[in-house]
Order: sequence, then C-alpha cells, then structure tokens
Amino acid sequence: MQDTVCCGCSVVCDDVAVSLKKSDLQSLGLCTLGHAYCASIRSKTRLTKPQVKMGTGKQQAVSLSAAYEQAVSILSESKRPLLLGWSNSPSEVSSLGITLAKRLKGVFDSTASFEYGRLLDYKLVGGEAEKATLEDVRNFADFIVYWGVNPAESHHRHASRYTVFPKGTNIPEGRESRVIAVVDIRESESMRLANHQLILDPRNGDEHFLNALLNELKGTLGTPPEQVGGVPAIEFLSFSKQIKEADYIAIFYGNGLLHAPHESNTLPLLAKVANRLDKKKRPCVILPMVTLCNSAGVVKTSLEETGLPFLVDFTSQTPKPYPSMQEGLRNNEFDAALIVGWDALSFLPGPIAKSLQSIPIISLSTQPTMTTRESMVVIPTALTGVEADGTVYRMDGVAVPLKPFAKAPQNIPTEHQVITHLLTQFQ
Amino acid sequence: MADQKLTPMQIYKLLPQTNCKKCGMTCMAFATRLALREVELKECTPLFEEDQYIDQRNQLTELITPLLAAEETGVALDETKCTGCGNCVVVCPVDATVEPDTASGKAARSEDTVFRVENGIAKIINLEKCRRFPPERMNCRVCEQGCYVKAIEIW
Ligand code: SF4
Ligand code: SF4
Ligand code: SF4
Ligand code: SF4
Repeated sequence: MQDTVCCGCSVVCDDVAVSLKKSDLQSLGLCTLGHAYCASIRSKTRLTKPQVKMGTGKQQAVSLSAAYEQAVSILSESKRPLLLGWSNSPSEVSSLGITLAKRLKGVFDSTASFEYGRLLDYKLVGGEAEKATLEDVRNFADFIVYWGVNPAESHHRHASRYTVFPKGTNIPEGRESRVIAVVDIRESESMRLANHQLILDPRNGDEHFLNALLNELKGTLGTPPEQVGGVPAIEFLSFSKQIKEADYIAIFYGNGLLHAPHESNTLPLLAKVANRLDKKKRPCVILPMVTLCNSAGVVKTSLEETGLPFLVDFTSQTPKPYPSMQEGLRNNEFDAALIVGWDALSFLPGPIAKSLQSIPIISLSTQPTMTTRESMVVIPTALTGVEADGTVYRMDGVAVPLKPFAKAPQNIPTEHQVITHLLTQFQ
Repeated sequence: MADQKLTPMQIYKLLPQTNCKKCGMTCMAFATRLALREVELKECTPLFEEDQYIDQRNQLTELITPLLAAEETGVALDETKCTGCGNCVVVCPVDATVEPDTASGKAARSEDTVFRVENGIAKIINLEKCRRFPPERMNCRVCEQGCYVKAIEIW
C-alpha cells in the first residue's frame, strides 16, 4: 500500500492508500466515488488513441502528432476560441491554459463559474473567516449548516472528516459537541444526521427563510408567521436561537441554493446573514460545496493571473470579464472550443449544447463522453492524481500536492504536456 | 476468564491446532468464526471425541459461555448500500481507542479497528471488538445512527 491523494471530489482526501497490481486496485479509506475514480484508469472503456474527425464526419484513430496538427490548425483558424473545463486538472495546467487563452485571444472559463455562482461578487466573507480551512471547521465549528447540498450523495467523506463526526480542539465529543442543520427543498439522506431538518418550500423558501433570518438577527422580525419559507415557525425559531448561541459557524452551500429560484436574491441574502453572524469572537465561515477536485484552484489561479475568478475575455490586451459562457454560446460568439477534462455537452442545457456542437471541439479526456464523441479532435490524457502530478486546491483553498501512483499507458500524455505543446505552436 | 475480552487467539490456543478441517476450515479460521458466534464449538468434532483434548474442551466451554449467554446481538453491514463515507469508522468508540486518528476523521488504516473502508466500501474486520459483545455488552448503536444510508443493522 502506498499513500496517495484522491481527486475524486473537492474534499481531496489525503489520508488514503492504494496498491495497484496489474489491473487490480486495492484501496484503504477511499469512498466508493474515490475508488471508482482511481480504478477508472484500468477501465475497458478508457480512451487510448487520439482521434480526429475526418471529412466523412467519422472519428478515426490517428497518431498523437496528427491529432496535435489538427488541433493547432483549428486553433490557428479560430478568431475567438472558448477554453473550457479545467476544474479536474492540476493548477499547473490551468495556469498554462490561461496563457494559451491569452495568446489565442480567446475566452477562458472553468466549471467554477457554475459552482460558485456570483458569490464572489458579493464579497461574502472577510476577516478571519476568509482564511478558515476545513481543519478549522473540524477543530472549532460547533454549528454546521448544509444548505441546498446533500453531502451523503456528493461529498461522501465531508461529514466524517471535517464537519459532523470528528473530534477536534474545541469539539471534545465529536458529533455530540456540534449542532447540525440541513436545509433543502426535500428530505435528504444527510438529514438523518441533523438536529435541524429544514425543508423549504421549493418555490421561494430559500428567499423567505433567509429574509426572516436576517430580520431576526437584526432584531426586527417580531413574531414570525406560522410558516417561514415552508418551515414551521417553531423550527425556524429554534434554529435561529441556536445559531446565535454558537461559538463558530460553518455554512456549506450547494447547487440547491445556487440554482434556487430568485438566485440573484438568495445569494446576497446568505452573504448578509453570514456577515451579520460573523463576529470577531464568533466566526461564520461560508464555503461553496464545489464538486470537482480543483474547482477552488482554477479560481485561485485565475484570480492571481488575471484578477478575475473565471469568464476571462482576452480579446483585448487587458483581461476583461466575459458576461456569460452560456449566452456567448447561444449567440454563436465562438468559432472553436478547447475543452479540458469536462463533459460539457452532457452538462449544458440542450440548446446551448447544440450551439457548442456546431463549432469544432478539441477535447482532452480519459474516458469517452458525449463531448469526446462530438469532438473534431480527441486527445486521451493521463488521469489527474493517479497518473498525472501537480497541485490541486481543496474546496477550502488549501493546496494539496498530488501523489500519483501509476504510469499512464505509453503514448498517453498528461494535460500539462498537451497544453505545453500547444503553447509552443502559438508563441 | 469471563471478564476478559474473548479473542480468536485465546480460542485458537485451546483448539487441537491440527488443521484437520473436519469443521470445514482451519483451526484459526474456526477460532475467528467462533468468536463471532458464526459457528458452534461442537462443530470441532475432534475436541469432543478425543480424550486427549478433555482439558481444553472444558476450558473452551467455560471460555465461551459468557459469549453464548449474551443476549443475541449482532452488527451487520449491507455492503450494497454502503458509500464508504467512513462515518462508522469515525464514530465507533473502539476504533477511536485502537487507532486514535480515526476519531478526528482519518481513514482507518490498521488492521485493528472494527470498521475499515476497503476498495470504497466499509467492512467489519473485527466484529468481536464491538462493545455490544461481552465483556462490555453495552447497548452501543452509534455506528448504526451515523450511517447515512442505513447500511448498518444492529439487533
Ligand atoms: S470524499 Fe472525495 S476526495 Fe475523499 S475519497 Fe471520496 S471522492 Fe475521494
Ligand atoms: S475440526 Fe477442530 S481440530 Fe479440526 S481444523 Fe477444525 S478446529 Fe481444528
Ligand atoms: S455498536 Fe458501537 S462499538 Fe459496536 S461497532 Fe458500532 S459503534 Fe462500534
Ligand atoms: S457509515 Fe454506512 S455508508 Fe458510511 S462507510 Fe459506514 S456502512 Fe458505509
């Protein structure tokens, strides 16, 4: 057994071990998701040969150099390429991607633009809370909120490693020393572990609940109505009372909140609630439950190198914010796409996927996906963390150096090698 | 004897240790399964048929009496439901004693814990250490309560 780091999700577990003999992967500590992620290198479906779409519209296996040639030709002809994905790649790769986007005068975007929503615009956190890590949450947080996310399904080890069960400096009894609230529009598995199980009205529950909570914190609420966003008043009051009594609050929010109706109201409301709760002596940390292993890292790299978290437009000399990738695709603003480690076509809504499909796509992937099937050029790559080295940033922004334990099959490059090669062609 | 924890090793030492396999397995495997109450002592026929083992037979019978006298209990894990979340590993008080890092959220890596997540799925690797069994016979259920997906069943 050797130690490794799991890139199966944004928890990036670093306490796990594996041993690989021929195609048999044994692991200790990896959850089902993580084990499947690591084992996928030996899956029968794995992409092994570069492919290029020929005149007939059919993909054909070609040599790596032929695939490179075709990719370079597509990108040279493009006036405005879209460079997408990146959140499953080490930060070293996204950094090269930003340089490439700059040279090609394209638009750089990552999946983080969905995962963070516009939260970064709202200057959500400040002071100590901003530097908080998952270790701080484990050691100090006695009030945990999961909002619009079901970690039991999406981040298997999140609760056992950091939020619900582990003991920590100020959490002597683990689970018994914490209060857990799970807020969602339906009952979820994660609610099994919660003290407060708050089921909101799917139409506008988030907004009403947050509004009432904000007023309650300001002391202006008075007597709440019978139902607060679908939650009985008595449960609302018990929640707001306990959260005010906490010593350290950690709020994790997910898609359920990001894509709630009236999203443009709910996120700023959550920001206001968190800012009001956050005091010098009682930090309130708020973290998006991004899903991919380096979503936080791409944002960090992009901020450092361009001043913008994602959606960076390099058309002119200075990087500018690009309003919306989906709108851009809908309006046919791009004439080529380079997609790294992400199945964009199965993720994007139908009409937008259709627009994307209508331009030449170059994709880098380990497995066949809807996106690779529609691509003009497919370059199989090594799997991040398992075969490819680098650094990823956990959901809380902590850097984790990877510990790959396998060698990619011959002729399969790393994403780093592919983007480096492309950069040599566009000086 | 009765106030000690019954380990497969204690049982093994008193078995004939011939690996005759009349019970269908080796002596060590038999010892392990006896500690888990998956087999009965009388299935080791040489122990009862051969006089040379009379002392061992008596000692073993005495040793396992408290185990048998314990109210029927058990912990079962449905691997088809398990997601490998590790909640059981982290909450089990026995795991915290034998591998203290687990209590602060780390994966079980030794061979000493009750639970260990292997190949993505939790396994019970030392059931006999569970506090529900003698000598503690505590009505502990924290692993069952901590499992998101009701993969752990205690009776
Ligand atoms: S929780 Fe995420 S990082 Fe941890 S083992 Fe599971 S998939 Fe890997
Ligand atoms: S029957 Fe008894 S002696 Fe034979 S292998 Fe089993 S335990 Fe050992
Ligand atoms: S019942 Fe208690 S002691 Fe037994 S396995 Fe579960 S948590 Fe551990
Ligand atoms: S708590 Fe349940 S789902 Fe999680 S590892 Fe244990 S048995 Fe599996």
